Amino acid sequence: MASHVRPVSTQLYSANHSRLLRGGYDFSGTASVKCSPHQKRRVISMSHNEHGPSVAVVGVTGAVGQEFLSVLSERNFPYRSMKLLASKRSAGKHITFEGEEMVVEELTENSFHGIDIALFSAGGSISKKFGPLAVDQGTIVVDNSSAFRMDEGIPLVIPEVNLNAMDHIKVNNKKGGLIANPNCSTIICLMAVTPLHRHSRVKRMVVSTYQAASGAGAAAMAELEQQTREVLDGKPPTCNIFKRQYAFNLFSHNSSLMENGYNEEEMKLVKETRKIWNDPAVKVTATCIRVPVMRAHAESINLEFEEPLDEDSARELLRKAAGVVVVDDRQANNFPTPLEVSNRDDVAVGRVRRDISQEGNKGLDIFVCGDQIRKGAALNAVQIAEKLL
Amino acid sequence: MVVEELTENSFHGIDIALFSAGGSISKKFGPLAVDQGTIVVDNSSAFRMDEGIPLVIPEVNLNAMDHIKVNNKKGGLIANPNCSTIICLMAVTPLHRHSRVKRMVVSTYQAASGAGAAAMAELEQQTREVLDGKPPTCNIFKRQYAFNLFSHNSSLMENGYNEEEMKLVKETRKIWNDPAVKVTATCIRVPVMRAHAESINLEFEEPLDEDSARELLRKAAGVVVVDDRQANNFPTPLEVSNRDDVAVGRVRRDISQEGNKGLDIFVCGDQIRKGAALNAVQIAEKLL
Repeated sequence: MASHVRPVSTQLYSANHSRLLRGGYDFSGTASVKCSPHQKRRVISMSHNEHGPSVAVVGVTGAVGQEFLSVLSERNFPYRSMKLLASKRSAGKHITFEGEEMVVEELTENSFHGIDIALFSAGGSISKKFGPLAVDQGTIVVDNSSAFRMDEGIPLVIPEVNLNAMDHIKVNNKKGGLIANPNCSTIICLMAVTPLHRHSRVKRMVVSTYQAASGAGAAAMAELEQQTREVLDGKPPTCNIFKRQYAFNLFSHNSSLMENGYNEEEMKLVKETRKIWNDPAVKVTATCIRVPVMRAHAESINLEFEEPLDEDSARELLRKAAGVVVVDDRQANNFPTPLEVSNRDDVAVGRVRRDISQEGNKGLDIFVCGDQIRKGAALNAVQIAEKLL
Repeated sequence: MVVEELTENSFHGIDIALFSAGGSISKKFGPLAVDQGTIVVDNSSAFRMDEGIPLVIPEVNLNAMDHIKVNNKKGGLIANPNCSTIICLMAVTPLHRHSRVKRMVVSTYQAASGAGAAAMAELEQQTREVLDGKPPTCNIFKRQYAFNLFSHNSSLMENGYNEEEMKLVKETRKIWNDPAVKVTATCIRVPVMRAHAESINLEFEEPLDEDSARELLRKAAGVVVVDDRQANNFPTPLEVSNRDDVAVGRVRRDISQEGNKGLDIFVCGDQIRKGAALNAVQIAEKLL
């Protein structure tokens, strides 16, 4: 039985659904992705290019895997050929694009022959097992997992921030390589903070996150929806992914706790920031909390700078920053929200103000939202892939 | 019992009046009741920052209301602090008493109840609508609240902070009687029903290690420590809903501060209970 990959309903999660009260949204980019609720197939058009790289997507049936396809399509990534890889369980499923029906193949050690670029988002174990293997066969791997991020010699890249870290890796070099995609909360944070950091070095950063279900995968989003229905109907919530009720609740991030009392998610933000900024001395503390929203993270960020940076200058720097949009209207009380940033490329920043708890003009508070699946994962990875050409 | 209409004559012979009908009602009827000899415990923000009006969390600064007793046969007014202030200071004050807090960075996760019963109903209604693929009803909040979060709906001040955040800053200084304490806050509305959560970063004057901090919190009245790293069990709004105690967890040394002068904690408290009604009733008890 040919089973079609069913996209997680975008109704709850898309900012550009007509249900939103705020003004109309344009889907950024020339998307030819059609995805209405209950539609079982995704129609994706891409730019087939004879001279482009051969591309493989590993973990194609997951939330990020699906988003890889959307993003590659919207950005007209010039692929020569496309291979969709997933687990044995998902092998055989059909995904249609450009009128062409493709079959998901099982990921094996032989999957990377002749593959120039492989986008991985199938979890750390898969990356550990197949990543180096693919590299040995001459593939450039862009890995969304945490498996290799902190490895010495592996570039950890946000293109708008530290593109130079991957300068030495190009498809034309005809050599395998691996670039790591940072963690979603790191990407969203640094997209907003780096433009300021470049102007005046950040000495210390205090981050509190409001993380969406998508960060734990498509099944987590489905579980949040299911739990919400159950709770509204007075039934007990189904808890497979999360051990507790998630509907109308929030909790400390489910990742493991380290000796120092921080969880893995928080330590990722600390360590990855230092690596990406190449600043081992920057002081970072973070508290990561899971909240019942679908696919975009929010972050409350308190900053201490080495040199003064007033809020107006900060806002200007952010307005000019690539991949960032300033949503900072005090009169209208209009600031970034996860819903409005969902399915969009840009990271939204607002509530930019001088921190009244710090002396002089060396402190700022900001509030940031970013789509966890897009810029937090798939978009960043595809942007990395584009820079390999 | 029958609900009576609130009028200027409602307070004859009333010893204690618990107010929670909004600032305008408090402003209009509060002083009136006081003049008639009533002791008013006011949950609104109307008089909180007024000089001479005690702003009280019984576990924290009971002494501020020592001079007001029913037996004094005299009217008076005591203000109930803002919900986020109460929840924050219940958790932080036991530590502050041990080693003065120099600076506090707070990010809140505030429940619908803070905006009233109608707000809770609207969140539920919106959630049903959104799950059914219908447009969300937005009467109280101007935007979708279901599966969303947003900067607190209170007005923005000149300095870019909203009223809710400035309440936390100002009320903390008044309650601790410490005008120099540095506080910054970011208040965010999240789609939970009746309990607030707060992520609090602390800088102390003197060292305070996390184990000592946990001990102080265990002994603190009205506070329960929920801090199990192995089980990944920490405070949540759901588990603290309908309970009196404020729950504290994630107590750890702040790795971004030198030495042992920084802590990060995560706090949850029922906004309607300790954040409002319970605190007011506890104040009333102390009037006897």
